[in-house]
Amino acid sequence: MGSVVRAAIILALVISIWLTLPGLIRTIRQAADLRRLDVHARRAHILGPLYESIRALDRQLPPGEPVALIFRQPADADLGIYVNYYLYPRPTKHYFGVDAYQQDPRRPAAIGWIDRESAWEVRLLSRQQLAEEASR
Amino acid sequence: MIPALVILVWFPLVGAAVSRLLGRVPFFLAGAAASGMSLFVLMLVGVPLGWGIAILAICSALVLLIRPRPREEGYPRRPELDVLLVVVPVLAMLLAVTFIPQHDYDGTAFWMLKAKAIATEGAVDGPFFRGENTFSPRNQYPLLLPIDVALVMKMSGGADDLAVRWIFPLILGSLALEIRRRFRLRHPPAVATLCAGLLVWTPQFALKPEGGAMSAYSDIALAAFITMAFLELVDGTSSARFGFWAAAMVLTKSEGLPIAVLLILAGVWIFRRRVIAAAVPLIASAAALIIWRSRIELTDEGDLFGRLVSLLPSRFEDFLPAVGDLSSYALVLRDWGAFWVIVVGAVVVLMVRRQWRALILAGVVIVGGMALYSAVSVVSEWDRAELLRVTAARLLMHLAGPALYLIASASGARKVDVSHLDVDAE
Repeated sequence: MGSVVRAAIILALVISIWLTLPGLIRTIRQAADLRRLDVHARRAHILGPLYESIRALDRQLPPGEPVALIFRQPADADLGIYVNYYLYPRPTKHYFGVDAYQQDPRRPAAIGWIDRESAWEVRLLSRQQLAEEASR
Repeated sequence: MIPALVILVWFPLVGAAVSRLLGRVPFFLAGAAASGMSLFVLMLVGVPLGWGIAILAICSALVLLIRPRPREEGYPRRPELDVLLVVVPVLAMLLAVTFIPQHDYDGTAFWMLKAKAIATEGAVDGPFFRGENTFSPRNQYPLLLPIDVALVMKMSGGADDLAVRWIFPLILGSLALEIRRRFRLRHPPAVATLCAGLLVWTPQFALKPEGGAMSAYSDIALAAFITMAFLELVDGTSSARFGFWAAAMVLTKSEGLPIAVLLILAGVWIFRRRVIAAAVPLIASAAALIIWRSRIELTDEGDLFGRLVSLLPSRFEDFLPAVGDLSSYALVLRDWGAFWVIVVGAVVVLMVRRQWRALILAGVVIVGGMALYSAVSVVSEWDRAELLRVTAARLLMHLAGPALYLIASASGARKVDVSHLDVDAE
C-alpha cells in the first residue's frame, strides 16, 4: 500500500511541476527583461500608463498636499488602490462620484480623477474640469 | 540589495534566539513570527518601531549569548541534493520578486500599504490606522506580516517595496524544508522530500497572483504557522512551541484565531493539562489584537462573529452546499494539480489501516477549517459564489500542511524515537 501511495505522490508532484514550470519560466524571463530597467520603468512596464500618471500627479502637487481620489464608477476604485499605494505617504481620500466629493465639507482641494473607461490613469483636475466631467 | 540582506540575517538570528528558549524551531519562520508578535506588542504599548527593533535585537543577542544551543537531531549534517526540489523553485521566485514590481491586488491594497504606513509612522495606531490621512481598506486586518516587512524597510532605510518581498518566497521555502525535516523523523525520507516538493510546486503556492509566494498576501505565512502548530500537536512534546505558533496565527490573519482555537481544543487531548502553557500566549495575542482594534478605525469588515451566531441557524440549509462549493475549488487542476485528490486517497488508506490518530488530528484542522470557512460564506454580506470564487483557493492553502501530513502518514511510517525531543516538564 505504501508504495502505491508513494507512486501517487510522485504523480501528483509531476502534475504540479508540469502545471507550474511554464509559468515559472515565463516569470523568470520577465524578471530578466525587467532587470535592465530602473525601478520606475519596471513599474511602468507592469502597471502601464497608470504608474506614469501617478508619478505625474505626485510631481505636480506640493509634498504632503492631500488628494481627493474621485472614481467615476465604483469599479474604478480598483485602480484607486494602486494610486493610493504609490502616492503614500501623501494623504488621500476616496470618493465614489462627484456628488460625494462636493458634499464633503472637508474635501481636499487637489483632485485625482479616475475613469478607466476613458483612460487607464489618474488625472489631476481643476474644479472646472471636474464640473465638466460631472456634466457629461 | 540591503533589504534582502536584512531579511537573510535578521529573521534567522531572531529565530535562533527563539530556538534557545523553546527548543528547535525553523529559524526563518520563528524569526518572522517572533519579530511580528513582539514588535506588535511593543508598538501597542507606545514603543516606536525603531526602538522596538533595537530592544528585540538586544534581547535576541542576550538570549543567544546566555542560553546554550539545543541538540539538533533531525537536521542533516551535510547538505543533501534532494533539497534542490525545494530550493530551485524558491530561488526562481526570489529572482522574480527582485525585478518584477509589487502589483498583486490584496498585497498592494492591504498588506504592503500597511507595511509602508508602519515603517513611515513607526506605530500601529498612528494617523494611518486611525483613518486620518489615507484610505486604508481592511484597516483591522492583523499586522504580523506588515510589521515584518516594515522592520525590513526601517532597517534598510526606506519605505519602499523593493526587495522586501523576499520574505514571502522564503517563508514558503522555510516551511517546505521544515516539512521535509519533520516528516523524515516519522516517515520514509523520500516521502518527506516529495511532500515538501509537492508544496512548493503546487501552482496555488508557487504561481498564483492571489496568495502565491510571489504575491504579498499573508496566506502562506498563516499556512506556515498553522502547519507548525499542527506538527507540534502531532509530536505532543512541547506545548510552549505549540502556543508560540498558535499565537502567531492569531496575529497573521483573521482566520488564524478560530483555527488556533480548534488546534487548542485538539491540544487538550494531546497535551492534557500542559495545554494551559499553549493557551496563555494565544489568549495574550488575541487580547492584544482586541486592544489594538479598539484604538483604530474599523473599516469594511462587519461583525462576522455576530453574523455567524445570529444568521447561521436560519441559513443552515445553505451550509452543506457551501461546503460542496468550497470543496469543488480543491479540484481545480490549474490551482492545485492533483494535491487534494491525493489527500482524499490518503484518507481512504488511513481509514482502511485504522490510523485514527492521524485522521482525527488532521481532521480537526481540515474539516473544522472547511466548516468554518463555509459557514462564513453562508452568513457573509457578499454573494456566496463570488466570495468563494475570490477566496476559496487561498483558504485551502491554510489547510495544506495537515493535508500533507495525511499523505505522508498514508505512505507508511518509520520507527520513531522521540526520546531526544525536549518534552515539557509535567
